Amino acid sequence: MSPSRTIGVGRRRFLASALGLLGIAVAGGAVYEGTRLFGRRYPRTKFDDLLDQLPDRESAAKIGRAAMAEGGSFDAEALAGAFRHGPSRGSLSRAVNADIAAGRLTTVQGWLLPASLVEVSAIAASVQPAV
Amino acid sequence: MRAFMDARSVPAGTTIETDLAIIGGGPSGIALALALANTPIRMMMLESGGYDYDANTQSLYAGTETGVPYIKLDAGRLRYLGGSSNHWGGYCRPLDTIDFEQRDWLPYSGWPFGREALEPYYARAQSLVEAGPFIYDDPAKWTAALGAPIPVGEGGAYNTFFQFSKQRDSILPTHFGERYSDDLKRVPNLNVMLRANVTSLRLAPNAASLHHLDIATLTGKHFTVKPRMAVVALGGIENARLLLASNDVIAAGVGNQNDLVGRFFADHPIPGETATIVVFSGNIAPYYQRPYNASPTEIIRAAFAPTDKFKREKHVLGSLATIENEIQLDAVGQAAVATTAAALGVDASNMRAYTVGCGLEVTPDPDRRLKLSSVRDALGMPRLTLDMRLSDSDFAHYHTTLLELGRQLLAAKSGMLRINRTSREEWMSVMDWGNHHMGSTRMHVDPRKGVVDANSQVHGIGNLYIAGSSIFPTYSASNPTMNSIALTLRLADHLRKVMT
Repeated sequence: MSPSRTIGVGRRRFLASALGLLGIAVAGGAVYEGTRLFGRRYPRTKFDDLLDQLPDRESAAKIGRAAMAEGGSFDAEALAGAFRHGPSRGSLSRAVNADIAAGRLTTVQGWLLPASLVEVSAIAASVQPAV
Repeated sequence: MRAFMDARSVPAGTTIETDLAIIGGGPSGIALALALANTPIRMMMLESGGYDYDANTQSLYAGTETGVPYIKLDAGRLRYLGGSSNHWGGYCRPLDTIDFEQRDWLPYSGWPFGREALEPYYARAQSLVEAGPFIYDDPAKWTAALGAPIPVGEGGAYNTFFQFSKQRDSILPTHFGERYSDDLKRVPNLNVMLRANVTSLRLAPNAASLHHLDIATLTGKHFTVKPRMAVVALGGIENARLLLASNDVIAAGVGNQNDLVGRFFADHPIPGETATIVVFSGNIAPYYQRPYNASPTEIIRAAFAPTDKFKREKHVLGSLATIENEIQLDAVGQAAVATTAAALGVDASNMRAYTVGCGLEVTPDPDRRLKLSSVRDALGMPRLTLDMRLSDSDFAHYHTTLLELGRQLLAAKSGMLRINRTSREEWMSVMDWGNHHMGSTRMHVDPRKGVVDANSQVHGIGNLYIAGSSIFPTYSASNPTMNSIALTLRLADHLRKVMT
């Protein structure tokens, strides 16, 4: 086997690899764009700093609607304000953990849930139309 | 081996003398007889039934119930050798330390002694119910082999364990009559007489001692047993009935000078599907959902219970919550799990949900009461009527514990809880009972507050004792059989001292 032939084969492999990588990149980009195009997208709201912390806004909205149906009184503006400026500084994770530690649980259709999670869920319900 | 006697063959009018009459051949009576085997004490066990169920004998238990719906008085117990062990579930768990304590927030609470008084007897009681080694809340061996309990972290609820009476051919548990018949026949100082119904405790005219027992058979025979001492071990309902019906010297009934006999009756409410538990990982050890053979000699089941500390701090009674059947969640339930798990940062994609059952301790209530009715049975004994009651606070105690369990599951990021019942109507709609008859001849050092003293002796009657869970002043959430046997073994030690 001559060195030039070896080099020739190496070039073909290099080109094939490069094209392969390009293909993967294009496909990956398509998936990314597809996710952007076809994934869950919500109209912008003034509560997005809170609602974006919910991985599934529809599920949360179901909780929120159930809580409101049980007579809970929720003022989304007031809740959001208190949440943003409260001890958790707008962090749902911190608020949830603090609720659990303090025993601040709210019952929604019998489910024992951290109070702040129910509040943010109620905010989600206020901006999310029922399906 | 000594064959059992049949009361129907005893000539009418006979008087039989013995040292100790054991009235009743259930778990307590049998445990007492075996504990006093090979002592100088001549014993006679008087059992109403025979070896097997008999409808005519069973019908002697019939009575009436008022108040909250309750199991018919002739349905929740069995009247033949072995007593109600012939249909028990085999669940065993010792009483908790707090169960013996006088609690300011719980009226009528307080035993005359602490758990340490029963500790020396638990191993033997455990042996008699054939529940394997006494382990319970030291389950490291089981959990190492079978998987860890569901994490609940720190707090007022914890994983506790039942142990179970021995399993034979998939049938739980030890039936005392069948299991110990041959052992009883080998006891040289014991005569067992079947089909012998004690219809009255006849006191001496001064009401200070038992003079003799009236015995009757369903065939119409009547005769007398004259013991030096007697132990009434007829079960948590019938103990009260016999005392109340024995009213020729003390009009209110034996031991009832202070109107206590039959009061404070209790059972364990067992409402179904009280809650739903979700386990985020979907993995639960096999000892949660049903009795599980952890080894050839150890059958176990886990439950959630409030700690003694939590009970003291929150003023709640005992409860034992068990995981029951797997279920599918509705849309809100699925949303609750998905949203909560995400907020906690845990993966719940394999989550599983189960119903939660429970057994509850109830508040001592003097008006939850057995009384004699005007109706008489085939032997001429007054039948009973039960006024069954259940306080809303008994549900509230359990609700408080469920709230804490739910909080702890979230804190441990292991799962979550739904409380399924909130109103009294909802609780009662799923109500069942443990058939754990307790409290109707309660123990207290003060005769104004109890029927028997700390040695199980009927106050004021020097030679009459009571065995069984009818002497429990408070009821725990634990199942009573193994505990009442431990109490009976303690009584056996006392009788050995005073009779020999």
